Amino acid sequence: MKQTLLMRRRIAIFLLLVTLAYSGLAARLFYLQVLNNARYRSEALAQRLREIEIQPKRGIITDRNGKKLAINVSLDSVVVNPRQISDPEKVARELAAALEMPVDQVLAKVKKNTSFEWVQRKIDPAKAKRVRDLKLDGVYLVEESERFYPNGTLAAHVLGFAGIDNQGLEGLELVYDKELRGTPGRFIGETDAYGREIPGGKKQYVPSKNGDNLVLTLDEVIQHIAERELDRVMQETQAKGATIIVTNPRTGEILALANRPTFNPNKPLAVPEINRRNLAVWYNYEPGSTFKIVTAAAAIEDGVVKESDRFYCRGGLQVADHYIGCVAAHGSQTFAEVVKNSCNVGFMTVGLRMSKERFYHYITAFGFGSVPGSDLPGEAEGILLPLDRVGPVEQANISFGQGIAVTPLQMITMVGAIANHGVLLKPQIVREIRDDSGKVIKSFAPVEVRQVVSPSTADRVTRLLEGVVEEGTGRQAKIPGYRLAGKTGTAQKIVGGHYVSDKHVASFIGFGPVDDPRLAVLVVVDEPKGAYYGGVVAAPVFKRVMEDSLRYLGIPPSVPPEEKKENTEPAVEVPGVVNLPPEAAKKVLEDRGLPYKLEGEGSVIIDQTPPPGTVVAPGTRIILVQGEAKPSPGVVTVPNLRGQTIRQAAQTLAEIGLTLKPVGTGLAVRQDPAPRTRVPAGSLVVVEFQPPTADEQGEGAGPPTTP
Amino acid sequence: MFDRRLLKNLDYVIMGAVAALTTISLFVIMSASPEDPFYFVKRQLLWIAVGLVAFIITLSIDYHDLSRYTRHLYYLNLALLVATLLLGSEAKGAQRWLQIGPVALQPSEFAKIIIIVTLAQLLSEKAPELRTLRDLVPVFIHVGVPMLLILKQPDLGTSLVFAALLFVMLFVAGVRWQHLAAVALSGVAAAPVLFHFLKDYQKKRLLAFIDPNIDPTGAGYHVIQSMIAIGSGRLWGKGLFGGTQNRLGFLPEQHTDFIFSVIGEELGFLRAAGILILYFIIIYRGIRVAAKARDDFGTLLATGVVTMLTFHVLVNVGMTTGIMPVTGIPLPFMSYGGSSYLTNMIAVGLLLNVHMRRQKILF
Repeated sequence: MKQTLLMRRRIAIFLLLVTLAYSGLAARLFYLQVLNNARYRSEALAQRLREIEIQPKRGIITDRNGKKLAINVSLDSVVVNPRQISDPEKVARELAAALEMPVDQVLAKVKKNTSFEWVQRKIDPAKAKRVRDLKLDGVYLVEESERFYPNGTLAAHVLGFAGIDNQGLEGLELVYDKELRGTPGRFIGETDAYGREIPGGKKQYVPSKNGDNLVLTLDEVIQHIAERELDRVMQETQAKGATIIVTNPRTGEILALANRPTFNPNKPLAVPEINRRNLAVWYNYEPGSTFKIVTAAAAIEDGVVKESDRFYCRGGLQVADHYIGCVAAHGSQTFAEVVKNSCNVGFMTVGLRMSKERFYHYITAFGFGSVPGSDLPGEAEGILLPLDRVGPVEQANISFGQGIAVTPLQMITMVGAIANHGVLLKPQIVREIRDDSGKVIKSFAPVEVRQVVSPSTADRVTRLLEGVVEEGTGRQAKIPGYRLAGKTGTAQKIVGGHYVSDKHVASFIGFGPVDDPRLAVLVVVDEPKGAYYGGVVAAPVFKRVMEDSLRYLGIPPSVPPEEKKENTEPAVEVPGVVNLPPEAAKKVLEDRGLPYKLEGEGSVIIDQTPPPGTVVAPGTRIILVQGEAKPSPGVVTVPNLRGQTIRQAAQTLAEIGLTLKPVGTGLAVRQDPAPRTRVPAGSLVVVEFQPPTADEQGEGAGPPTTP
Repeated sequence: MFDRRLLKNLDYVIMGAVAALTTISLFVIMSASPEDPFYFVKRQLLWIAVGLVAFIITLSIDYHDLSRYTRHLYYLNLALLVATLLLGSEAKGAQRWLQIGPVALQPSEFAKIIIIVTLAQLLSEKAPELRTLRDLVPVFIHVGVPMLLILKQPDLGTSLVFAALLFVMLFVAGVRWQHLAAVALSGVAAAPVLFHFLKDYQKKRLLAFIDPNIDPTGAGYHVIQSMIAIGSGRLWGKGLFGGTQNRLGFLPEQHTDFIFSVIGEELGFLRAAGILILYFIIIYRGIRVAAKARDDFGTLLATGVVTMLTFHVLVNVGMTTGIMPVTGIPLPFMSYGGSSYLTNMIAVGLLLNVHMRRQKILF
């Protein structure tokens, strides 16, 4: 049985083939390890490096005095690393119970093939504590910052709001998102296949740059006043909507801007989308008689009318083929009286004395037909009829504010020009941008748009408007001691192409004091029920906003009031009563001789106007708003409970969102955490109570003092 | 036990290469078990001892005596494979293990040896009679029955070893080219049909072989990670215990089927190529044994052993470097695993047995 030649040859061929295959293997190895190793080396490194983005703090938004309007609070988010979880079913079950989520939803996240998965973001501290107490491997709490608007609805339309990833979605949060957002930092670390950091591995840290802070032109106090008056007028008139804008006519700065309906930027999606519309910049309405300011200024500037010119109103005017009516038959009046009476016939006559081109020149020069450019998003241009479609009838209508649509912001900008010697200023909402350390990066100076009318014309219009407030249709806006200029407006609304008699826009616009204007105020009330005249509905609102704001700004009356000699009486400083129970607050105010008015319901004072520290005349009524002290979402300060009964202590703590764990009976003698400790809302405060001794009894019986 | 003159005829080069590979494997296995470096090494040492004993026993029996027991061996083999299917324990979706007392054995490993022996015997007897395709049918049945039993476990890799054994041993036995071509073609033609019968994970692996990036975190993950590890090892490697992909858990199955990835990463191209050369020495010397064998049975026995080793090295290293599909075939003498090591030691024992008794010894 010796090997045949054939077998020997076959063995040789086998050796050859095996050698070839081996060479192929060696070549492949050479290709991977020598020729292509750079690629695999970098892939290996990339696989080991985990990049963690470090979120910058979003810049805060404050009013002009540094009062915080939008801040950040820290909340925990739950993250899992599924690669570190050995028993996903158990983890999912326990986590789902703690987070009040469906188990299968958590299980799906826990089983994902990844090393980072959000489970629930920005959870409340109680949930976070439950998750922390579970002590599960692979489950982490990550601190995230969330936008918080401490004043709730205050200035909601100006601020807008930010989303879950702190991205600006509406309002200034959106417009200045780039500045507020900051630059994320990075942490790059070398990790193993399970996402654990390797000791001594590569590390790189690029710090994040926090967002810039916005300082607005708003004044929180004036904004509060505007918001308060809007709530009041909405309640009194059951209107569909309302807007108040307060500006400084000398600079164009917006001091307050508020609308109803409104929303809480902390819960922006809880209300219909329409509530989030910023009516002040977006709403096109027929201005009615308030627009007569433009007609008067244009006519005086063009020299077609003097204050002493006489007009005769028989209750209407025939213009071309139309007879256009007036509110009443005013008879013979001077132009000054025409303005005071808001007589349509007089204004039509004056308006028609100008060519339509001249009239339109002034209308557009006052900013109508173009966006005001305030930085607030959603500004509308209003509606101007094209010039070629304006005949005498249309021109006559526009003269008294019909057949033209404007926005509230356009109106306040226009009246600002009258107050500012005829110079139109761009409305301004942002005052400064500051970096994280407070250094001013950019400040916004007043921007002059154009000289619309001469200073003397502006002065003459101002006198005419002062007459409106002194003895004309705007008498209800009068504030004793202050010289104010203003104009009422009442416009019928158009429904389906026709003016209807039951839907009106009542408005009042004005500024003061006339010799040195510091404030311009516009009040627009959309579809008030019952009384609908601007002089009745809007003028009193204007008056209250103006009065409280002038007082707050410390602007003294220019003329001694006729009835009362207030300035001879000693001034009183308003005490702070916020956080006090109403009874205690009443007592504090009564002691100073200040009357008060309580608004709202609740067990504690949550707001007061004027604010503490304001110097007022004795007898000035202080408005107190009652409410329930809200647990703040982040951190609260533990109050001193010493001497309180268990009931008192429980109530005191409940009011700020803490829970009492009493030990013993009697009066509080010891507590943990100690007073003034900052703790998360929802924390437990252990208080030790002991029966009172004789001398402690008196101390403990009184009401809790101001925290 | 041994005749002194027989010991003189031992192939010490093969033995040296096996000893070298075994020694290196201990360090690599240690590096490939980052959690507890001695856990697998201790067990592997035990198996090396068992392997040595088996090697000596295999050497001591004259391979000619085996031909008398081929029938018994063959049926014992079938019985073990059937027992595995019926009684075996499952791991990773396959039924490959038979628990005997404290040890778990993989009968499919020993089946390879038994088929080498029995097929060598069959072919050495029948080779001159294999003239037509029809004459080959009993040979196909001889290999096909155990192969199908293994495929059923399922163990695709090992059943492919059987196909390789059948083909190469027929080739060396001198079967006509045309017949071999027909066998090869029918194998290729049957592939799509066989593919249909594969388990889903096996199909995925084969598809992932064509393009690992189809499913980089699933079926393609092993290969991508292995290629990254080997490629990043470069010329000189990252040093024993210094392989980031191995030590940080990116490499899967790094102490068993993917041990060569650890070698590539930690020891580098030069040393990995050196290890390939060690294998080539064994294979080259093995083919030499086949060529010098005293009879056809010895030649075919040696051919079978060499085929098995070659196939394992080519497919395993090919798999770790991404040019072969992932079939779960261990690297001889290096992958952690008792049955595999034992089988390979018996195989080498057979090889040296044939070599040692290549001359008629005259007393």
